[in-house]
Amino acid sequence: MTEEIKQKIQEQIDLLPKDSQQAIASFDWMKESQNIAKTYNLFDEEVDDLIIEVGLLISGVSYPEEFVTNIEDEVGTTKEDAEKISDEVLEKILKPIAKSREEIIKQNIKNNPQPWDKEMKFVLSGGDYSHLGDRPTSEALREGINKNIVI
Amino acid sequence: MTRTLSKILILVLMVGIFFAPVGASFEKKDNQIAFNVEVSTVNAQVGPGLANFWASSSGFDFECNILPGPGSVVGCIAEIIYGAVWWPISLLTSLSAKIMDFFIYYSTNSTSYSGSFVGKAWGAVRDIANIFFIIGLLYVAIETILGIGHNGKKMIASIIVVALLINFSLFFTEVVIDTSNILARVFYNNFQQVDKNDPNKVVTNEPTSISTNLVSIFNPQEIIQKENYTNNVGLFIFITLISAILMAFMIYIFLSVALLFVGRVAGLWVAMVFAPIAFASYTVPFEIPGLGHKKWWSDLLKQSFLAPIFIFFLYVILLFGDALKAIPLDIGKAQNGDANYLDKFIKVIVPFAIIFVLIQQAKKLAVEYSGTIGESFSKAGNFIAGAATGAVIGTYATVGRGTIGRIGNNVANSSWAKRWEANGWGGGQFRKAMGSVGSASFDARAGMKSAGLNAADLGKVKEGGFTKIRAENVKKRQEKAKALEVGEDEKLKQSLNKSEEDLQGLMRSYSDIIETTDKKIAAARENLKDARASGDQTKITIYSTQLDAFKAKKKAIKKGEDMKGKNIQYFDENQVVQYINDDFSNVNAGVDAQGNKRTIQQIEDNEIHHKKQEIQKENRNRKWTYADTTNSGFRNTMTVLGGGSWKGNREAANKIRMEAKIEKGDDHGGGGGASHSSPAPKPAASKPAAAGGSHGGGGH
Repeated sequence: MTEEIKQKIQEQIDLLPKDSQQAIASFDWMKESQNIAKTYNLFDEEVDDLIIEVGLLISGVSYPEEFVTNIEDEVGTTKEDAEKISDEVLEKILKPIAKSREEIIKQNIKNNPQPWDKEMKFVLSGGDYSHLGDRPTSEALREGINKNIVI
Repeated sequence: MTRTLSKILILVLMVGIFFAPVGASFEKKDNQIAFNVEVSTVNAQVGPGLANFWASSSGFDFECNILPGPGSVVGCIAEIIYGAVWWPISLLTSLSAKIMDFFIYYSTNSTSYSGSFVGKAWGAVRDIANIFFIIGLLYVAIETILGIGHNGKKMIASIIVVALLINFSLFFTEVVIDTSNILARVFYNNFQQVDKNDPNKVVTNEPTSISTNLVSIFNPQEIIQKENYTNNVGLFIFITLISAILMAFMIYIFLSVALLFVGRVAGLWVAMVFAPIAFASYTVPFEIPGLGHKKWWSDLLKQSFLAPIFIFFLYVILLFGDALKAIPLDIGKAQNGDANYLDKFIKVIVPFAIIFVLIQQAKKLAVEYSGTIGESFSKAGNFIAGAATGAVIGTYATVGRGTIGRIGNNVANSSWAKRWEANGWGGGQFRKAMGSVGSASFDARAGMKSAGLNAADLGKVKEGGFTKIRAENVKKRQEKAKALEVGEDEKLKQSLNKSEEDLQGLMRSYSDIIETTDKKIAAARENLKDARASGDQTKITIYSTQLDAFKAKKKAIKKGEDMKGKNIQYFDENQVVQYINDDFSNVNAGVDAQGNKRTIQQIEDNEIHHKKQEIQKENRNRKWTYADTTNSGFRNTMTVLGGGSWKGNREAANKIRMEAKIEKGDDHGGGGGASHSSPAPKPAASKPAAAGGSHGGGGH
């Protein structure tokens, strides 16, 4: 894999929230992708292609439901192998990252407790997260989400 | 089983009384009970009802013809509707009117209660009742011996008095019944005797018919006249169908009233027969269940005075009908055209509706006075009448569901209605109303049932406190937001479905070649792995070229490319160069709006991808708009005024925006919201979710 591709994937990852970035950084997903590639007898360029697809997936650029087709088309496997690879990526890469992210969020809350008045406001608000941090307005958030979809 | 038996009993009574002559009696003959039949019939004394009423309007000819020439198919339809729907219902109406007239007369006729079988049954019951006196005397004797009672003398006196009176119990009962019947006759005789063919013509030589008097108020036969519709067969069909519904309601009313009076006759027979037991019950210090004097008196008086009360109401309704005739219902004063017929129609419908409601009210009041037997007969009457009416109404209900219901359902599920609801301003109510129309049975029977309110119809009592209600409201709003998502029948989804179907169609058409290529790729990959393991350079070259060539072929299939001239070659097992020159340019499903070939890859990567995005975008827009509406000042004010929590609205709005999972369980803290550290949603097995980003992450 070229450094340029690595850089591009990292750029996308850097756009994610901090907790997601930390979770991804804490896990060697490239090595795990290579291991999976080996299991399915992927060679040289095919391995790089798989790493790129996994990178695009975890950085939120490509759609999860299109992952199987992407592997089949971009890596050049059979449909059956693409499905198996997809399942392994889920178990061996995505789940550990999600778990790691959950731990990081818990740790952050523990290390940086919200002021009591914010906690109280949250309890009294009935689940309004806007008291817990600087959140964008609903219009801005909506716009952002829709923009993200179009990427 | 008991209900079935009671229905059979009612039917037997009705048929028996209706077809049997008055004055039928039981007699002992040759050691057997024989049923004596007298020749005189009530039929001669009640009017003809509506039997000849509709005859004047029979024999329509709308020039039915399905062949070229004079006449039309619409004429055939009109004649079929007239002959197959209207005519049978009109006959049933006449019959039910006759039945009602008959039973009102029969029930208020004193000879109906003078049958010898009543006297014989009463005598048998009286003999049984005498046992109570012996028991009563023994009771007083024992009480006196033991010195435990202080009312011995008083009780003996009452036993002797009752023992004497019991012999007159039938007489007393008949006095009460006759009194009520005489009173009923006072009102009954006020009904005019009208001509059997023209209810508006008063005569003196015809028997009295209550139904004819009632029907004369709205004259339904006036709207079915051929000359009115000579040039408008469509209007005739419409009027005929409406008229059939009207008659169905008439059947309902007539039969239910008839059954009320059957109940009276049976109730009074029972009261007469068991009078001795009721009198004897005065002597025992406990109430005899079902036959005690308190219940007996109550039933006797209620059943007896049901008749005068109800006939009095009918008389008042008749008088009211005269007032109705004076109301100018043809305000438009249309002189010709359809409006003229509609005026006539209104003149029938409005008085009928008023008469219908008044008779229902009269029946309700009369039932309150008729005791339990009358009530059960009335209910059975409603059941029988309802079955007859239901058959007619059910047919219309089917048509209603198929037409108006279908439109309602389509409107409720349309994109514009959902967007309107998301924006508030009555869109929710509109969609709800349309949804109700779509899910409505269009069965008037349901409405008629609900008119007889009972406790079960009043709805389920709300359980739980404020917290639970708030949680339920939050859940309800989340579900509503979910329901606003692009539905199956909307354009966006239909467009996506089309693309997916086209893709599947292409894949199916070329499944053989795709699968074969996949197998070749798998084999080449396996062989290459073995070759690399053995270090055999020749084989490595062979299988490398094979893997690349077959991968290129698969790509060409998906891209719909012609491989000629692309110089795709590989070595076969014998190291001979092979070329792949297949032409896959026809592997497509036409071209899209931009002129691009709709190949497998194009549909997979672009079409479906973009259409899914569009749907997701639309769903989010709707949900966010709905969330804003949910947490708006107006909605919060209305929620607080309705006893709800505005914070619940805020929680709901937040959960809708965050696409939080809808709580399934009952336990809810109310105000919890999504957890602080919600993990990424669990992705599907073969469709992994992204750890970050906007697609699958959520929560950040």
